[in-house]
Amino acid sequence: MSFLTPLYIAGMLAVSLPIVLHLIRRTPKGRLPFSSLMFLTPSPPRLTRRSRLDQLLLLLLRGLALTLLALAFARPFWRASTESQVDTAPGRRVAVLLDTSASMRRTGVWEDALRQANEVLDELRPADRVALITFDDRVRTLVDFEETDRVEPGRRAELVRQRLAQAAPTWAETDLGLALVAAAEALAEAESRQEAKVVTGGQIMLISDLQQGSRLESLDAFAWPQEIQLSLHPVGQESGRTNAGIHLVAGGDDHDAADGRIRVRVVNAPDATREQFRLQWIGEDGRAGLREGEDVYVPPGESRTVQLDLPVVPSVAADDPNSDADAVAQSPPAEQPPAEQSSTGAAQVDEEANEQQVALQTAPFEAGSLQLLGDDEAFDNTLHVAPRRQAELSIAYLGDDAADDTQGLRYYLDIAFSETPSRKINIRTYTPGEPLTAPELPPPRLVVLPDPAVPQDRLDQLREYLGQGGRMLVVLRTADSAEQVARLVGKPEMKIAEADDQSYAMLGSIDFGHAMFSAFADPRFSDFTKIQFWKHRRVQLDDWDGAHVLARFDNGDPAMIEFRQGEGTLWLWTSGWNPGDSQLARSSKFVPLLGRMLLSRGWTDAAAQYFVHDAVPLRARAAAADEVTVRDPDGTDHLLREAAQSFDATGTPGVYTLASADQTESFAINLAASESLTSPLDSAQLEQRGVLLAGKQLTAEVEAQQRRQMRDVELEGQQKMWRHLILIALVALIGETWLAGRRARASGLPPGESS
Amino acid sequence: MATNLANSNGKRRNRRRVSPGSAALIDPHALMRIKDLQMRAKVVVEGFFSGLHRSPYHGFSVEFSEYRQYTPGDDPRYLDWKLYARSDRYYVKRFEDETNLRCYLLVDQSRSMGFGSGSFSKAEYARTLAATLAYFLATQRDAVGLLTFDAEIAEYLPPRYRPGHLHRLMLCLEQELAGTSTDLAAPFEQIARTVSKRGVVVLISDLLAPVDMLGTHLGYLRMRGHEVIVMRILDPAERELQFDAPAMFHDLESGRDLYVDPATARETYRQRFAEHESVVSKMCANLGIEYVALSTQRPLELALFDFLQTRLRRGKTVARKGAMRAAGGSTA
Repeated sequence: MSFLTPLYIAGMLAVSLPIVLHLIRRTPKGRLPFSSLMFLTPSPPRLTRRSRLDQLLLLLLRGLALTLLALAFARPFWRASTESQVDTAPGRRVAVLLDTSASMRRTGVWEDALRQANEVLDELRPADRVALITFDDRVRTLVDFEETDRVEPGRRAELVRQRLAQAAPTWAETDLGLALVAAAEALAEAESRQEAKVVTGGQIMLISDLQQGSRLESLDAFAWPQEIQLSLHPVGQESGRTNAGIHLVAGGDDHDAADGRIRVRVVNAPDATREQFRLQWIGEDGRAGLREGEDVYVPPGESRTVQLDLPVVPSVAADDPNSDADAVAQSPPAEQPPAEQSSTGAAQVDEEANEQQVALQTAPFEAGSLQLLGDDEAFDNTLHVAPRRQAELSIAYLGDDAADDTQGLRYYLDIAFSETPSRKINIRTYTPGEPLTAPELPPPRLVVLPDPAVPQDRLDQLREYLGQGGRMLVVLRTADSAEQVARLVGKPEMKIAEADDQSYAMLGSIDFGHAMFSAFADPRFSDFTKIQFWKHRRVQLDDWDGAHVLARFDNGDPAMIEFRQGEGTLWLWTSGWNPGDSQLARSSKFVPLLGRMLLSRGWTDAAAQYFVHDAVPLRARAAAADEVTVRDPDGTDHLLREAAQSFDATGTPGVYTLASADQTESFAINLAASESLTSPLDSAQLEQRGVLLAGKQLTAEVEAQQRRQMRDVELEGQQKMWRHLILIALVALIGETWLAGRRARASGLPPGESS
Repeated sequence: MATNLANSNGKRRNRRRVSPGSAALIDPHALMRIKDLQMRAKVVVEGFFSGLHRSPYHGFSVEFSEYRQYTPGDDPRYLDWKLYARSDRYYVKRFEDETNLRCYLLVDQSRSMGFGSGSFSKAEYARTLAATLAYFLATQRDAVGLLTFDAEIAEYLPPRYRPGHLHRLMLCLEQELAGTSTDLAAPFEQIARTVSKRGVVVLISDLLAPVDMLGTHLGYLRMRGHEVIVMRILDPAERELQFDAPAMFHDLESGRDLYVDPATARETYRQRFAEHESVVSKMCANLGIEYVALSTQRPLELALFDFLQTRLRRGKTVARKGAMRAAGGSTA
């Protein structure tokens, strides 16, 4: 028999009370007045044997009652009877969450993380259910709960260890919030799957460097389950190691290959011990010394922005395919030596390069890397630079208005599509007899047809163009081209009439769900009431199949209609943007609207820079629909399918080369800037977001004790022996009362005197 | 004291008739329920008389001495005419003291008298007894005085026979017990100092006090010619220590507490009590003092009977002593 609250057994000492009372039975309770004591002698309190024997039964009953009460309060239960059930009790659910972000590549951190993970696995009990989840900015479940459930309990830790060996740090940034949410959801899901004998709740063992750059936003929108606790196993948090990072300042349009300069930001960690760093260019061939390095002074915890000249590239080296391949093979960032080594190595290369530099011609800078020297952690010391190339697009304008006619449409097109560093748009006016493809230009990305009244053969060309996936903007400037428009959109009949509004119309209802207007969906931008349309044409169509009205005027007439013609798209605007028709060209909405026509259907503009795991849009293949090969920094070629719009195998930072049949282009993938913020994250930030942190790590014995205690409580709750004990005690007390009363009556004393 | 009972032959028989166990006796418990002390005394005395009157024999006398042949010169007032009618001879009744009796009731009011194992205390019994005696004597036109005492004298009423005196006496008796201890010396000295005329001194007390000086003081009274009767009032529990449970015994007078187990202390107690009693009774016998031990269970008529009995014995003793003195002998 065991006891839940054994201290109450000390209450059995109260048994001595009736014994003592029985023993001193003859001790008077009060004073007896007597006339004179002159004949009396004092007598000592005598404990006669007779008196004890006299009330033995009463004594036994009282002692029994007290003993039973003490036992009942001690909450006894039989442990042996249910011991077997305890062995098969369900284990905990533990999600081991392992950080594999780039900051885990710091010296010794990953080894520490593996060691901690193994320690966690060592402490698991066989019955525990385990999941192994790794995360950087994505979450990968290496072992899930279902899988461990299928494996017999003794082999679960082994399975997890096997999978753990496959894990390795990546180059991605840390989205700790996302990972925690995923782990908590996995725990919650596993709990909902199991029916019976479940230990509610679970534990997340987070093995991470808990860097300040971790993203936690996902937690803000997540209600943390109360039964799930997070145990932190921080690694790599020893201070005194200098970590500085280098990042490209996303300067928008102002930096580019054209002006030959870039801006970089150097960030130093708050706990750094060094402040002096050096920036060193490394060319595509991996050799340093393309340009003289620059010293940067960054105090701990601060950042400095430096403007650097792009290096001059020897044109011979850039053209040599062999040296290029070697360079790629030599300089994958994963195998980069620590900073100290690379700096000495770089110095040697520097000298060689200086010797050659005199004789070499220069070429435009294609791609290279900028290295930061002077800190302890090498993982974020390389910035890959591949200046964007300007994309060239062409728009075919099939109208007759002059480029400088402010009353026409063409004039505003030129203004709307002015040249930017990332793109150059050629607008070419085609005369009616001219074929749509000019030899010096890429195929037109957009055809603008300001007046559909064109000859039959041109219509056929346009229909063909549409059928090939082209896009066309038809502007109804007059009402007399219904037949041509109907042919273009493939409808048998269409009626177009000049709207007879005396004043002006406005855009009444707009489909902000459509890609064309989705950019304006925000209430800050959705006000189109400042645009007045003086004239528009009323389009009547019997069959609206395949047509989608994007916007209507306030009188209900369609303003913009989208027709899908196979792969192609035709937009029909019933009013022009020329000042005679409307104020649209003078509105702030005009340029974005036209831009949407160029960019829609997955075609996005190139970003200033890309980070690991970003999807890089494939601009070049918009024109050429042939195969595209992307060579990653490791030298592996990725053949992209024809339909691929973007390249997303960007797991490694470095310079990627995109090659299609007619051109090559480089883009750089860099480490996210937040990964350089390696100083430890305050765990209070997690708690502020509602995460339940487990308290002090419990040792196995303490935890086992707690479990045993809980089990005891449960067993005791099932058996409830105290009830029987109390009942027997009551019976004993009743018997005692009856017996005492009987004795008292027999001896003629009041009942209280009997004891 | 004048007696109106003349037949000496009826003495023995009469005593037998009113012996204990008579159905006519009044239970002291019942008697004590009567609140008024005078009424209580009246009940006792009348009960006593009614028992007396049922008897065909008369002859009680406190002071009766003898008949003697009338001789010329005797006061013819004392001629017993009834005897003359029966015997045709002149007899004159002789009395020891032809004046009225002066009786002094010395009532112990100390706290030790407050003890009682039954429904009433010894003090209650004592004052009822005193009242009964006073009433009885008053009915016989004798002068009764009262002296209550504890450590010192509380009340003193000189013996009188006048209207209202008995009532005052009753009021004095009804006083609450006050004294802490019993001092028997003071009342005896007071009596000895103030009373010059001989009388009967009745001491009603439990005599639970050291007795070494008691003999001396009683001796004084005797020497002054007083007739002394000691009526000792005792509770049955006192005599036998009738207690079962051990208890803290609280001395009513000194306030002292003493733990006593009656079972063990009883023998010693009895022994000491008996010693004390024998000392007292022996002392009384030596001094020619009548000693009557009265239990509070004893009906008061019997107590009154005891009183008269002692008076009777006293008369005989005095007569015998007088005869011996006349013969030239002397007794101690």
